[in-house]
Amino acid sequence: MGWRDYLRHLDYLLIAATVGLITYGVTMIYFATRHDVAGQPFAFVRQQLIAVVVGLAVAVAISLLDYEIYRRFQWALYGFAVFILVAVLPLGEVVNGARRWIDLRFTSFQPSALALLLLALSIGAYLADRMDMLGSKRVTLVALGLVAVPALLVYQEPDFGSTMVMLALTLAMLYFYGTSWTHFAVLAGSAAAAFVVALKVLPLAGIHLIQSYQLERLFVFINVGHDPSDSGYSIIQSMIAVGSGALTGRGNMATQTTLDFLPEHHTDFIFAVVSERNGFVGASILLVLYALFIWRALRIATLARDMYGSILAGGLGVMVLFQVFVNIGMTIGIMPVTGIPLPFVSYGGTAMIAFVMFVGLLEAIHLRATAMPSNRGRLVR
Amino acid sequence: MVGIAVVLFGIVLFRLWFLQILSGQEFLARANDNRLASVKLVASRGSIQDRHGKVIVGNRPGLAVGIRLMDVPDGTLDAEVVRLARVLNEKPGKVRREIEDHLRPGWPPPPHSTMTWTKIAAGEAVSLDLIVIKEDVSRTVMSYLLEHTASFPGVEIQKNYLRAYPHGSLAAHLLGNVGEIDAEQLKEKRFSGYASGDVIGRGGLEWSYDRWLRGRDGVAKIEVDNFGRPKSHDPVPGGRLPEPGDSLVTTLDVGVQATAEEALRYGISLAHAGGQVEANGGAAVVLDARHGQVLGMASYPSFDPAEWVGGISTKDYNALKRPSANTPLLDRAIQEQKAVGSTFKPIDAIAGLEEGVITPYTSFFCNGSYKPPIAYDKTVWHCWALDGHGTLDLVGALTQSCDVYFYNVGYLFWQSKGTELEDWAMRLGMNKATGIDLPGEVSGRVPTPAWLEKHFKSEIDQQWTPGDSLNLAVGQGDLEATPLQLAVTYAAVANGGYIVQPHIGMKIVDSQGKMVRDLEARKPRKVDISQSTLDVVRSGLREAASSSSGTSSSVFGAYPVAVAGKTGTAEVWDRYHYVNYAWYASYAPANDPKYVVVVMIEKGGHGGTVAAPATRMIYDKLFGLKSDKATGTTRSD
Repeated sequence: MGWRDYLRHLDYLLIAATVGLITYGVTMIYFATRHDVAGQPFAFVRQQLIAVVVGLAVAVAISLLDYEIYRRFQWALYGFAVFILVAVLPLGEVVNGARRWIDLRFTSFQPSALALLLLALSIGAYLADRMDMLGSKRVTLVALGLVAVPALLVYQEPDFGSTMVMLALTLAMLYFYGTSWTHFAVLAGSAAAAFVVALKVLPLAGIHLIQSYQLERLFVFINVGHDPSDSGYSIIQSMIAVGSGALTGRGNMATQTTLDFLPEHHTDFIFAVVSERNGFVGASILLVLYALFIWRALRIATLARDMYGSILAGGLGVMVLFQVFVNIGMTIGIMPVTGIPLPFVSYGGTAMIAFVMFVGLLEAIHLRATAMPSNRGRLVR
Repeated sequence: MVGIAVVLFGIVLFRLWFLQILSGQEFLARANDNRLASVKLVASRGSIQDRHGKVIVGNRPGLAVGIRLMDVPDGTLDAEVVRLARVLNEKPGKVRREIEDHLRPGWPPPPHSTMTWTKIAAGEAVSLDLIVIKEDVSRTVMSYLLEHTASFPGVEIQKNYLRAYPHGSLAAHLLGNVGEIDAEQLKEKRFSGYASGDVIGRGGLEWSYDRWLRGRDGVAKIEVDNFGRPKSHDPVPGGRLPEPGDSLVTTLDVGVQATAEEALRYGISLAHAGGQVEANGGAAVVLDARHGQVLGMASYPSFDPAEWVGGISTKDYNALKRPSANTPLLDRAIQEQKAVGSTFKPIDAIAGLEEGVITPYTSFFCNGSYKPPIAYDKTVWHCWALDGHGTLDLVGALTQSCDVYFYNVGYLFWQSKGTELEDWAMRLGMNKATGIDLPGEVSGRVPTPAWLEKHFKSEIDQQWTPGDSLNLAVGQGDLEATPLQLAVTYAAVANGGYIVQPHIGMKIVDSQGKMVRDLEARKPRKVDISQSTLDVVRSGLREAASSSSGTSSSVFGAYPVAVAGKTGTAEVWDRYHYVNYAWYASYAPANDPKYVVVVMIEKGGHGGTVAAPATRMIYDKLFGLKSDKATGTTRSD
C-alpha cells in the first residue's frame, strides 16, 4: 500500500473526532490546572501534549502495520498485560491509597491503561481464532477466564473502575464475536445471583466478601445527601459545577474549578470542568464529538475485512462508550463514583497514549477494509 | 449496539438539560455559596450624648487578639495557648475557655457538652472564624505578637471599636455596657434577628436603645477556596457596607449629673460629720417638673463603666461584688425601694383633703405622743419632736412635719375602713414602676389590706390594724418607694396633678446629626386634685423650706430661689437594727416649679441635715448660683 492509498483510505471523520476531543481536552486541562502549580500554568498541559505526540507516533506505526500480526503474538501480548499488572503491585507507588502507577522517573506509567489495549488485542484474537466454535459455551467461559486474571489484578490495586472497563470490553467483544444471547442472559443471571449471595447469603454464614461501606460508597450517588463529606461531597460539588454552567457556561467565573471545590478536576471530574466553563452548549459539543467517534468505530466494525478487525473495532468502540457514559454519569450524579477517566480528555499520559494507539488501530482496520474493495459491505450483524 | 449508544447519550443529554437548563440558577447560587465567605463588618455604635450634645459614651479604636484554629498546626494548640496566655497576661484556662465557648454550641451546657478541650487540642474541631481571645490589648502586646508571628501561628490582631467614656464614671448606672449576645438572649423574642457574636447593649440606655445605637453590621464577601482560605483580601461585589448606629441624645445635663453625684458624696460627708458614720450610699434624682425629663440621676457608690470595655476581668468584677463595696452596681434611684418617712406626708394631706377626711383648718394637738383612741390598743406613737408641737393646722403640720397630726389623719382613714389613702398613694405614682426608659426598675409598694392578706401567713398579721394606717401616714411600715417614684409624686404636686413618665432618651439622631426619631414620653396621666388642695399642700411644703419653724428652713430659708420641700427620716430595718435613711423631696421655684429634686442618703440620719444640703448643691447648679455649703440644722425630722 503506497502513501497515496494510505492517505486516501484513512477515516478522516474519526481523525477529526479524535483531534477535536484531544484539543478540547487539553484546553480544558489548561483551564483546570493553570493555578495548580504556581508559576507554571502549562505544567499539566505540557505533560499531556507529550503523551499526545508519543501516542501519535506510535499510532501512525500501528496504522501502517497489518493488525494480523497481533493475532500471531496474542499470548505474548496477554502475557505482557498480566506481567505489567503484576509488576505494579510491588513496584507501584501509592497515591490516594491505591497502587496504580509505576514511577519511571521521567514520567509515571499506568499499566492498567495499556493493559486494556493489550487485552483487546489478545482476547479479540482468541475469539477471532474460534469462529468455527461460535455458540460454544467454552469460548465464552475461556474469554471470561482470560479477562478475569487481569481484572482481579487491577481490583487488587484497587482500581475497581478498570475492572469494570475490562469486563465491559470483553463482553463487547463477545457480542461482536457473535456469542448467543442466551450466554449473556445466563451471565447476567449468575452475576445477579452472585451479587445476592455475596450480599445476603454469605454474611449469614459469617463471610463478608463485600463490606457494607463499599456498597454505600458505590451507591452514594443515589442519595448524595447521605454522606456529604466523602464521595457524596465529590458528587455534590461536581453537580454544582455542572449545574451552575447553565446554558453557556461561566467562563472565567468557573469558581467550582478554580477554587478547588471540584475534586480531581483534571482527571476523573474533567467533564464537570467542561460543563461549568462552557455550559450545556459546551458539554453538548463534547458529546457530539464522542458520538461521532463511537459511530465511526462501530462503522469500522461493520466494514472490517475480517472478524478480528470487527471484534477489535467494535469492542474498543463500545469500551469508549462505556467509559464516556460511566464517567459523565458519575459527574452528573447518575452513576457511582468509580474512578474511570474520560477518554482523550482526562489528564493521564498512559491512557492518552493507549487511546491514540487505539485510534491508530482503528485506522489500520479501516485502511485494510476500504483499500480492498472486495471486503467492502460485509456486515457483522 | 447503535441503539444502546443513542439511548445512553440520550440519558446523559436529558440529565444535563435538567441540571444545567432547568436547575442552572439554583446550582449557580450554590456555587456562589461555596466560594463566598461572609466577613462581618462591625458597624460603629452610636454615641450617647447629654441634652447639649456632649458625648457621655463614645467610641475609640481598640485592638483585639484572636486566634484562627485552621492556621494552627495540628497538636501545637495546647502549647500555643500557654504561650499566648503569658503574653496577654491571662490564665491559660481563660484562653481555653474562650476557644471552647466559641466552638461549643449553646446546648447542651458545658458540663454535658461533648466538645472537650482534649478534642479541640487534637484538632477535631476546626474553625475558620477568628476567635477573639482578648479585647483592648495594648500596643506593646500587639507589637510583641507581630514581631513573634512565627511562635503564634493563627494569632491575629483585629481592629475594632470599643466604648469610651470621656466623663469617666459619670452616669455609670444609667449607661449600661456592651457585650456579645449570649445563647440565652438569642432565644429571647427581643433579640430575634440577632446573630451569635453580635454585640448588644447590656443594661441601662445601651440596652433600652440598642436597636438604634447598634447600627447595621455590614458584610464583606470574600472569595475562598475549598479549604476556606481567602484568595485575596479584596472583597468581591455583593457585600454591604456597615451603617453606623444612630446616636442617642438624652435629657441628661452633664453638669447637673456631675453635681448630683457630687451632692451625694457631700451629703454622705455631712452625715459622717454629724456622727452618722455608717452612711455609705444614696441616690439623687433631678426631674423636669412638667415633662419628666431626667436631668440627672445619680447613685452612690458608683463604678467605672470602662471596666467592662473588652470584657470585665474576674478580679474587677469580684471587687464590685464584695460586701464592703456596698453594691455599687445597684442603681439606688430606681432599683432600691425603701420607706420614705415624712416625705409621704403631702400624700396624706392630698388624700385627706380630697376625701374630705380633714379640711385645711382641721387642727390637732401634739403633745409629743399619740395613742389611738381604742381601748385594746395600748401602743403609744411618738412624734419626732418629743416635747410636742402644740396645736397645728395642716400647713403647720407640713411645715413642722408633725407626726402626731398625721397619726390623727391616718387614724381617720382607718376609721373610714376604706383604702382611700392607699389609693391616693398609688394614684400619685407609688406601687408601680414609673416606666422610665431603663431596665430593672422596681415598683415600690403601698401596703393594702389585700396585700397583707396575700403577703402574710398568720391571721393576726393579715389584719389591717390602726397601726398599719398610722405607719402608712408617716411613710413607714410596709410602704416602700424609690427615689424616682417620690420625684414623680412631687412633680405631680408641683405641676398640678400630672403623673409624668420619667425619661432619659430625648431623641435619636443619625450620624449626620439629623433627628431620626423624637423620643417624646407618654402623655402624663392627670390626677384630679382640686386647686385648693394643691394650694394648701404647696404652701405647707414652701413653709417647710422657708418659715422659721420649717424643717429645712436652715438650708433654704434664705435661698435666692423659692424652694418647696419636705424632709424625711425613714426608719429602715438593716439586718439587726433600725437605721435612718435621710430624704429630701423638693421642687423649685415654688411658685412656678421647673425642677424636682429628690435626694436620699442611706443611713444618713436626718433628712434636714444631710439630704437637704445635698439638694441645695444641686439647685445651685440648676439655677447657676454660688452659695456656701450649708451644714444644715439640728432642728430636723
